[in-house]
Amino acid sequence: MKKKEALTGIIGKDCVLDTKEELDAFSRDSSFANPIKPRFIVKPRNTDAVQKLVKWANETGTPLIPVSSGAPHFRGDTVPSSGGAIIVDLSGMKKILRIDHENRIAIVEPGITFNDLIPELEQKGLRLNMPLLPRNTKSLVGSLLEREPVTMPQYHWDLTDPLACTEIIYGNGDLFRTGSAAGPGDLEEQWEVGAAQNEASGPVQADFSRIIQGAQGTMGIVTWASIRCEHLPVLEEPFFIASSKLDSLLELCHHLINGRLVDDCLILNSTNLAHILEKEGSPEYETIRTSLPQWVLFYTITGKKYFPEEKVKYQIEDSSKHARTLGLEPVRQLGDASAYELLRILHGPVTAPHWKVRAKGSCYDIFFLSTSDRLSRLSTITKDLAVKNDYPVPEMGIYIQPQVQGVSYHCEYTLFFDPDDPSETASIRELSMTCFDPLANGGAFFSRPYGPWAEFAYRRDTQTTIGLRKLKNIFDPNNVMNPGKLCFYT
Amino acid sequence: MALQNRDAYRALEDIVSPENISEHPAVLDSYAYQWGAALFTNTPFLPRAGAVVLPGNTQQVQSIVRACNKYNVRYKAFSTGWGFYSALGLDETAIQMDLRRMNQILEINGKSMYAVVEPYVTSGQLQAELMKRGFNLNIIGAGANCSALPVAAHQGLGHTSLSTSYGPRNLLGAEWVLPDGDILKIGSVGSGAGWFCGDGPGPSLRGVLRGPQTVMGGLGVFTKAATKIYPWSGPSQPEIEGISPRYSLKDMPKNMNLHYVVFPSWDIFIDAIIEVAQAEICFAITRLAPPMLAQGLSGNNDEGAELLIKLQEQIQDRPGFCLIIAGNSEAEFAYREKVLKKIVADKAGSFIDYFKDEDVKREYIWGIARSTIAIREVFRATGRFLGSIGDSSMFLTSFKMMVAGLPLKRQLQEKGLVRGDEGLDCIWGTPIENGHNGHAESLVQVHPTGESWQAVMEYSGRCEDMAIEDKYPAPVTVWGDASHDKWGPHLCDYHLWLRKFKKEFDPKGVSEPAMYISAEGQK
Repeated sequence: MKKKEALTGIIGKDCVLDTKEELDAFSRDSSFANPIKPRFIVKPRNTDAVQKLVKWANETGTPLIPVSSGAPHFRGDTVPSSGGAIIVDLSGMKKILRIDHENRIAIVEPGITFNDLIPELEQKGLRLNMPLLPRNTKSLVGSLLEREPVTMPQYHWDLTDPLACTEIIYGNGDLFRTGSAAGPGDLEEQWEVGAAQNEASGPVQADFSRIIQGAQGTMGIVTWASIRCEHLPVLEEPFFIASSKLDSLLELCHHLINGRLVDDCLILNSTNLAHILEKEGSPEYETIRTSLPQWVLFYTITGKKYFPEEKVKYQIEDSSKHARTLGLEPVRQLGDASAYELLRILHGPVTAPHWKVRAKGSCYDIFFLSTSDRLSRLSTITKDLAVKNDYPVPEMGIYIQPQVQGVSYHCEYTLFFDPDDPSETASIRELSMTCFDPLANGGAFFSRPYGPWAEFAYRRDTQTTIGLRKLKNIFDPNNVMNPGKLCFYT
Repeated sequence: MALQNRDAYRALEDIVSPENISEHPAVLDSYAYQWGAALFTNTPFLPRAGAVVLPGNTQQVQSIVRACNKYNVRYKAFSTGWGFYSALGLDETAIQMDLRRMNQILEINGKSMYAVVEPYVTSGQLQAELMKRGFNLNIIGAGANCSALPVAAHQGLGHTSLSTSYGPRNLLGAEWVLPDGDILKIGSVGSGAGWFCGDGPGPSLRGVLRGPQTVMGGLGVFTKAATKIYPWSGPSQPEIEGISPRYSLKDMPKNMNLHYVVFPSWDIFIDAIIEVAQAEICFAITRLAPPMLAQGLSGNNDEGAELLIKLQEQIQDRPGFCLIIAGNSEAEFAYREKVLKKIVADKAGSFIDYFKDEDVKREYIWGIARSTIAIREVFRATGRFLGSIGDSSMFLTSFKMMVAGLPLKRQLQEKGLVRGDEGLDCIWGTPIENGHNGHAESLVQVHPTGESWQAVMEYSGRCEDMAIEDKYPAPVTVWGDASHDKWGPHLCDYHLWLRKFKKEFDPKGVSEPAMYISAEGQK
């Protein structure tokens, strides 16, 4: 009871939860992480409470697990790895601190979801470089910290984009602001001279935000983040290009991105595209899927402030020329799929239930980064693994996202399954454990390793493991932040 | 003075063989002779290192670093070198590591838009290979003769950073001999997947390796790195004419154009440059003050002075910037030109006639694309420069800070302590990544005297004080303990974290910290 009293003193009376139902909800997720019940759930409302909490955790040796998104969780990173942990639920920190049209920057707390921010941005003539259809409960800050891929590669200059600056309470309880937000002065003082917290790197001779991103909450708790936005287009024209050959579409992606001709640019297989488009009143999933070719490239061409029609016109002509050189043809409709409809879904408000769980109740994603020349081979490896584990390949969703202006490609294989079917679940679990090595040997880089992949990934890179442990020791010397994740075992 | 520790010398000689190590005073002086040395010694020379060692590969670098740890000898590596940064802090108890034998372009991957280089590959060399394949890279303002390694330059900004970004964001995978001699491969290359990614698995150690500024020789040695490359719309094998230093494209590319545009006031100029940057129409935007233009477009100082008069007749003190438009198709090129004209008209701007001459365009397009004119802009008049250097977050704040510091600079000029710039501003700057970020510098051409250097340092210091007072972002010239201690308390005490990095990654403190930070702080 002493702990509860202490927590109540720090966070507030109604913000410390410990009913069985509430704790059970955080003891597991849709991944195969071992269920471990947390001791409390706390809901801080401001940075000061978070800082006091982290200091208290250091004094008492209590593990803290920061969680900003609502359920369902998929990766196991929010499930405690040890007993006695406290879930720090940041979903109540829901302030939009600033939207700066001139400098294309928004600053939000971790409880803000995509649906919270998008309409506010639109009012100011801005938009986000979005991940592909995040769930409606997904925290925007959480998505940025996880380095989730985004759909407009030409505006993705660096893998860290569109995250700019952050405020963080490090594992030792110190407050820090990364990048140009560090100072001099507080946010208001910086705004007064026209600054906008837009430089992610820094301050000075280090890039502190890179150490926070991808850390799964092991370095500290982020209490706000600034986000690079783009101007909202005046005109937007969507296109599909179909092919049975992935390599042809990848070649076209290279030309379209290098020519800075397209905004959204992504590849889906027929399974994923059908799942995204299926909805009440439309043909059933199977009807849509069978009407589609194996691979579909989706891209948009936009016109903005100056002569938008002229820009769109020449970019349609130039992109079509590239396509035709490769024997491909841009279209607006493929079978039962409309490019306009996909555009509406991608840029519209995120709906529930999430498209990935709508199909069978749950899903498991195998995802990694690689280069375009390896993707066909990696696709074959993944399909072979699926066959070996009795997973029906036609049911596997595939999403390929060019990143960093076409330098790397995010590859995501979604295995839809029924969580109440023990045999299907066992098969997916087996696949999750066996896919790593064959894919890594084929050139896949698991830059965001969750669950058991972390162990596999760090086994391949001992020096990085040593380096990261040094950093962990610096920022979280008592290992209170999400212990047991990545390479930070107790 | 030879390296004091003779056992260390013999160990180093064994590693690289006698022909790749020297302690001859003449050789050592060639490293100690640095523009800017007068700032510290009132002479053109910094203190000599104990020896210079030239490793030929990563394994030799590793062995040298391990020997330095064993014998407690400080070391500082440099690649192509540029200024006092590469040698500051050395003396007869320390060694200089010259990486010139590591000069290979290891990979150009056009499909994945990166190139992997060793430290002594220059940007000019890499660019020549890239252009043949339709690609380009970000070349720092210090020139095409500088290393293409995106962890070599102290910052990594250049005249084309609008479309080719800059150092901290162009770096991908990297090979890093840590201060204790272990080899760390950053990102995907550490997992054996190639050089295409610099982050992960999990948190990124790229965060320790550099920020907006690099660690400048103070945290081990970078032996290979991948840099992001960019599309190049210009000729793949450009024909060049002219003689050094005034090379020029022989033919004017049909899909490229260069303009110099001016505006009625500083405020409108800033609005306009940001508007043009955000319109995504330019290959390069570079704010060049008239004295810089004149020096960049002339063969010597006298010609430069004459040209400045001519330019000023047209520019008439109006703030302006230079830009290059490039299009991948006729329609794209026409569209971009049309947008530019619209913005310039909307902002009551004017195109300067001198830059309508095709000869000028050909020379300046090549000079900016190749980053060959930048050095003339700042160096030729007096052979050295320094100044007030802004940050890399925003053009607006960086530029405002430079303008605010102009009265201080004028005081130095009026006293004759630094070159006068003919009463003009000499501010350089560029928006970065289509205007998401930006940078500006107020350059001062220093006379070759200790008094002049001290004056300009005082000016820089006062500009920094002003930035702290007025809450402008930190400049990209914060290095060494004293500077970190000055800025750290105003920037969330970052310097205390930096010292922890130094302590953890360099437990013996042998990687020379004069341009980075020491674990223990100022003595």
